[in-house]
Amino acid sequence: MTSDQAMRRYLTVIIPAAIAFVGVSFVLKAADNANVLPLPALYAVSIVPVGIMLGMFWAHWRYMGEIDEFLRSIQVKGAFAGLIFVLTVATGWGWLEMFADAPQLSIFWLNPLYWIIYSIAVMWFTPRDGAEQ
Amino acid sequence: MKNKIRELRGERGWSQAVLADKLEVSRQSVNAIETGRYDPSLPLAFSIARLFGVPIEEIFAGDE
Repeated sequence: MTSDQAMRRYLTVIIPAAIAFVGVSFVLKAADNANVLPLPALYAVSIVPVGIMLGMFWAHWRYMGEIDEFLRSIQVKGAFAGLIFVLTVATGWGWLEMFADAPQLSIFWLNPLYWIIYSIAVMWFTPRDGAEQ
Repeated sequence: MKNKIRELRGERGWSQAVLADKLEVSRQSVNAIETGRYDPSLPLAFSIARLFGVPIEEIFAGDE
């Protein structure tokens, strides 16, 4: 499989999954606001976006296995940058919440933050490492 | 790491895309290796040497 084919396969999963994740998240939020679902049902339905999220990570995992070693090195750097950012924010803000009464942040945002930082990092490493020429 | 891939490729009249096809990697990878921005793994380095029919140490030189 070529890198282009792998990219197409990746995008056909990741784009619909990302749209579905955002859509289901909004539906869950609206359902919670309108009190249309009892609490146990909200817990149960929350499995849907989690499943979608796992699907996104599975697609990324498969993509990294299908591309060549150079392109994979860029993906690994991007994923690592996202991980560093998310863990640093979670730990750093967590300390502030525990000891400095900082306002509580929803850990829901860690997943979108991971993907945003990963995307920015890949866009930065791609030209830097010579993958655009 | 310095290498002679561009020179060897030029002698054969291959484009980066042709070499990438033969090595089953992306054209970006060939470019990154040629320009010294990426050092290939040992298996890929051996594939390159086999393809050009020259010993690996004739293609790649250390930075020392």
